Amino acid sequence: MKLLYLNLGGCNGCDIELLAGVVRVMEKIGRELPNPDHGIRSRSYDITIVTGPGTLGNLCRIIRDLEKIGGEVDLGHVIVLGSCACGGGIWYDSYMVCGGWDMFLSELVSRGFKIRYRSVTYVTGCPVRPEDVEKVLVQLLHSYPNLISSLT
Amino acid sequence: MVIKVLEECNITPSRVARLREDTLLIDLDKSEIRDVVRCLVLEKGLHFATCVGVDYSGLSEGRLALIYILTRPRTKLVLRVLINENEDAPRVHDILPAAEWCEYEAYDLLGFKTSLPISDRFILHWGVPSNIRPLRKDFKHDVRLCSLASCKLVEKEGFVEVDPHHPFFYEHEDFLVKVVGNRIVDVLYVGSYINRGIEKVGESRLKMEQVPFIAERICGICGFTHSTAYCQAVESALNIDVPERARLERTLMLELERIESHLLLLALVAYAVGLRDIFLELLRYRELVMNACDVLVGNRKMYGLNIIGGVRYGFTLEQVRTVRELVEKLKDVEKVLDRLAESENVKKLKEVGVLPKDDAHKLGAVGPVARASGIDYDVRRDLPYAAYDMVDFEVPVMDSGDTYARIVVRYEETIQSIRIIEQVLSRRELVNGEIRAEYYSNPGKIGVGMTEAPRGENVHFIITGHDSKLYRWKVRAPTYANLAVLKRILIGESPKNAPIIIASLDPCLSCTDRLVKVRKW
Repeated sequence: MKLLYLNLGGCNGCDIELLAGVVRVMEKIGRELPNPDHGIRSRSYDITIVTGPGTLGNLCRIIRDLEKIGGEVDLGHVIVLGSCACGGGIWYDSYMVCGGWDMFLSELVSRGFKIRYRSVTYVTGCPVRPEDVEKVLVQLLHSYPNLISSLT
Repeated sequence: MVIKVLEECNITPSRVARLREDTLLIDLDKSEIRDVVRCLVLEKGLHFATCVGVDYSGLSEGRLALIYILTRPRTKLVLRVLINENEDAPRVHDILPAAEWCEYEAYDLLGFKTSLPISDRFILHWGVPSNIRPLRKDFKHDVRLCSLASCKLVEKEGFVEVDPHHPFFYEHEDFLVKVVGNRIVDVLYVGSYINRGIEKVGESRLKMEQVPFIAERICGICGFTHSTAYCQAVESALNIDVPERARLERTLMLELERIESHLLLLALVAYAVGLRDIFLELLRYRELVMNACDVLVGNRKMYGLNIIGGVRYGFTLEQVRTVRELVEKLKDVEKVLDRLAESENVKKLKEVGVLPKDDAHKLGAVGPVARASGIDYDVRRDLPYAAYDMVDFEVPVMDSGDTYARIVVRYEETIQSIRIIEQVLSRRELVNGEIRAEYYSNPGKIGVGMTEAPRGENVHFIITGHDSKLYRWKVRAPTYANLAVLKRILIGESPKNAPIIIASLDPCLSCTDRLVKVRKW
């Protein structure tokens, strides 16, 4: 299973709760999740986890990654964590922020990059609670048994 | 006395305006500022906190200003240099390296005229059009730079990236080192990935009373200390006295946050040196603190407790009892931390990444980093805020200035924090009395709020505006000051030690980038 984890300018709150959630998931399914990539390094991923409101700096970073790879990228099942990533949160109209995952994606698409994904799950909260992270990840893994079987 | 020190630096007492008991404002001429800063910081040993660029066109003066903030025990000095639009900007960073980032930041975001050879942007280095100066008053906060910027990035040839963090704590920031043989010869830090434009949002869209909540979102680890510092800045500007109960509640949450932050860092240190069991154990103890916060404010992080003049709700006796039980369990963490400090893997870090006291002062290091280098300065003790004058605690100081000392200082601070929490929890005032004070807003008032964040001295500077809004809000997070020492402690070290040395500064990048910055030294 290939995991991509994008911190698009979050404050670290969601990221730490994500860690707490991931520890719970590992206890529950009894398998270890792989170390994630932090930038887009490959053409296809199974699960992508997104935090943060999508800042200009991170937009440029992702553009740099996409330019290196070229062609279409498949993000798999996208899990959007936290109020910021869901819709920009308190930063929704700030000059440095694209405004949530949807706007971030449409900005990339309008610059001509081809991005595909299978599903998007939004988890709100400021920060998200580890219980919610656990629930979403476990449900996703159970609905796609081939993901779980690829874990050791 | 500070007035005497000022006189020795050729500032007569008649030029000093007292804003509040501990805050002094001095208007200086551009020709004087260099001599005054040289005298006060380099000769008299005052601590340089930060500088702030202000566009005064919305208030009466109609000019630009660069404001330098100096601190020393029991006094905050605000040195204001007003200049005209077409004048060259003031500059002190050639004599005081600590001022470099904040001056460049002001030049970039306000568009000061400078005679410096800066060819491109310092902070907005993403190919942003050159007419965009976000902190000017005529710039609207909702301009979408995402669709305007060209995203042309700087090439960094010959540098290797360093990844100091646990894979799940990842903020994108480039730490780049240049290696010759087995020694680091140059360091480059490329930041501003996490710049969210918070200062502009706080000055334009939000009202003054809403800003504490966005201030808390500067950082997901040490957010509460930011909202406290902001509230203190406004309380100082508008002369508000906070009730005792509110001050005790703030102290309690601040110390819980400090333990949480230190345990996270120490856990990361354990992970980085290969002690996985201690890493997991420390995270388990950290959960106790998160639970305590959940019991008190209903959220594990982002407490939403602070408002100007006090707090939003009072704690009940029942909550306090539950927290006391959790803190009792938390005390056992000392044994785990002992094991960490005694382990061979951590002891190896002695003499690694040494920061001498002299350099720590000149580069403006703060917090545990400065205290590990022998600078005995803690805002909680030297400039008491919240309820720190009511509790008894020690400030751990070490002299060696190495990575090991920075780890041990944090370990001892954790123990002291547990002591403070126990004292606060045992006070009856915590559950009885008023929780907020009434206040009225006036435009044009200046306030400086300072707290000792887990990572060091945290400074918020505000000028109040019309319609109960802020006119200017500046945040100087501790990592902003501490990253300046990076080059000093990394050069000459072996690259395999670089991750742990960077981690020992406990860089909190979302705080630092709240506003952005940094391209080169």
